[in-house]
Amino acid sequence: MNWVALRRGNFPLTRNLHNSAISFAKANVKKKPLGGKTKAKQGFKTKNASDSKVKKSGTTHLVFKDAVRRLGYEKYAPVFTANELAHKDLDTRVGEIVKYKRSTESKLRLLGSFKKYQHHELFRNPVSLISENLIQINNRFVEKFDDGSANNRTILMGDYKVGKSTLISQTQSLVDDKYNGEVVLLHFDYPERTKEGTSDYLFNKRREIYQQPMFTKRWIMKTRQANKDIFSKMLLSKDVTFVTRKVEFKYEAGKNTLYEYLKNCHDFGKTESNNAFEFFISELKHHSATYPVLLSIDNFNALTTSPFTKYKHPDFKPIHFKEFEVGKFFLDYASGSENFTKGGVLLGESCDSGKHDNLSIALGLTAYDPYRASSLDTNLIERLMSNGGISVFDVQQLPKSQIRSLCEFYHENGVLFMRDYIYKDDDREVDLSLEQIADLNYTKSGGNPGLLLKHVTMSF
Amino acid sequence: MSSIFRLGARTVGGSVFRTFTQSSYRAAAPLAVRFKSSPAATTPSLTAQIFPMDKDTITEKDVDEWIQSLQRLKNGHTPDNATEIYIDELTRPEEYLKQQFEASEQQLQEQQTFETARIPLASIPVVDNVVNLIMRNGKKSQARKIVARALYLIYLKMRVDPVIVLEETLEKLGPLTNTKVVKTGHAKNIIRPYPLNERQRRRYAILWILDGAAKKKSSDYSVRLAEEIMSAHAGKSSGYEKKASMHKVSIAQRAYINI
Repeated sequence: MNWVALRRGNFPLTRNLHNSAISFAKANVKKKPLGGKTKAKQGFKTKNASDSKVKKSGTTHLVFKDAVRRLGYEKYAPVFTANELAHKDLDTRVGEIVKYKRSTESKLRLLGSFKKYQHHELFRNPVSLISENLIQINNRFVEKFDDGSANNRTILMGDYKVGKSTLISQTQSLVDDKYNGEVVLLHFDYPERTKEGTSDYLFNKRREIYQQPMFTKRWIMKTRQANKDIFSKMLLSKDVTFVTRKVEFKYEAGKNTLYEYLKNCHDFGKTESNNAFEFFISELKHHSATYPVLLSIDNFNALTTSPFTKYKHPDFKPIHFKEFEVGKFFLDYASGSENFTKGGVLLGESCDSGKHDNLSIALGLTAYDPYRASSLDTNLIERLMSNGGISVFDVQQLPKSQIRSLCEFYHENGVLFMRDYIYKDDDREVDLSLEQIADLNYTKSGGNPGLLLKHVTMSF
Repeated sequence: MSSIFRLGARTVGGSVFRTFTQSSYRAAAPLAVRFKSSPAATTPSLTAQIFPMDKDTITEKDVDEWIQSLQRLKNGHTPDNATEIYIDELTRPEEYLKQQFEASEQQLQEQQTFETARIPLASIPVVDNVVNLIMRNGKKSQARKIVARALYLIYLKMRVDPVIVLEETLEKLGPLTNTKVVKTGHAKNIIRPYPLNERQRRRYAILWILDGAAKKKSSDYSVRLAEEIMSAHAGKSSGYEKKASMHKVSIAQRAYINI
């Protein structure tokens, strides 16, 4: 082939096979759309979405832990009869399985005392066992409410699933019953929220403290709902003025109630500096001689294990939790530097939040090692050790008799199934006694109520 | 405020001293254990353990007697007095080091009672079958967790024993027969139905349940599995169509059943 001629554009007259099709091909004439101009589509052509979309069936999109909590499975549970947890004659009722008083139960639900994955969905209402732990906490903590919260600070410690959070709920219930509902319940079920960076924050220049409007607003809302009756009885001790939705409210001391203030004052959630939370706490403090205050903070070791939050200063250094309004409130009352005239501070440990010497040194459980001082928050430890320190309450495992009574209760309510023993040759041992099953479960759980429930319901 | 943290260790003449204030005493008290300087109780030597000394004090006379006995034994003398026998025994400590356990009568009786006792299985075989079919990459505990959670959800919804629900579902869903192609060597091959045993039937049923579970909404395997088992128990699984089609083929080819 004459390549030189081809390069110059002089094509031979005889057609070659490979370019004949092109020369005969019809010119590609684009059809004009009828409705005027259309925009040319850009980008790659993707697979048709409707072809690849698979229709999903099923009732829920939730994951397991949310599904058991939010799908209302407790309504399928049989109705059971049990006495209510009461402060009176508590010592004589050890080993009894009780439910919470209806009014207290609704309060605890609002406060978030019934936590995720505590298997409350197994029963129509939350149940608990009157154990030796409860008797002890009653004697050591509830009965000391008159001493003031600075002298009545206790932390619950113990093994994983031993029942620390449940003991907090039971204590709240006992206190509520003892004072006939005339007690303020302040509860933080998950204080990690103050430091994990999920809430907005701003700096209050006047008070030199950081505030978290969204967190504070939500906490105030549920606290207000749970303590509605008692807050309605509390008359304000100081005059206060605030503006909500362009309406100015002027509340006078001795005339308006704290509930009115909490309901109408929206400063808690405003994204500007305010002293609404400070005012609320000062009012509680003022009334604490008449209306005792129980401050309970679960997972307290989450704060001490890593005291620095995910929030940052303008110079990009992490902020300590005590520099926040709520964090300062935790530390002031946990250390006893602030005091409710009547009341107590009940702290709970979480086994999921990790261990750190900050707390164990502050509680006197571990010796201070000066060679590891750089890894410790000495200021925090000193604060917690001050004013006589926090007393440690070691939550104990249940004895065999109480495990047996729990097994009996589970069996009566259809939670515990008496399955046959199956042997390797497919032989079965039937008609097992409850005693055998209780022995087996006691051996498996070692007296730990959380593990017992896990073995009973989720071990196959 | 007095503080333990400001009062570190200070060295005086090569020794480390610590000073504590009253307020820091509580936290510092366990230091006594940590800085324990008393030596551990010395354990006696092996020889002393095997041959405890029968004398309170050793005199010069005893030592002389020992040396004389040693020399006599070196010369091949047969041990005849107490000292020589004692020294001779020192050369053969092996017998005394043997640890032999002798069971007491009570222990022997207990052993007899447990000889006939049988140990039940740690888990339920049907559940194990499901677990093993779910398991990937040998992660059995993860598979167990999925199945346990699924059965828990079934219990919460139905309030009956979830193992019985699972067994009933597998019994209902499992096919009775399957077919296989048998080569005759001629032009036409035979499709021959054959019965499935319990394990095979269960396997088909489980796999169909797992297929159905994959089409459910939730991102959690246990929730999807629970929903599929419950719908299969109610007779709504796609596995029933698969079962019917298998049975249909088997019935069509029933002439070739090998009896």
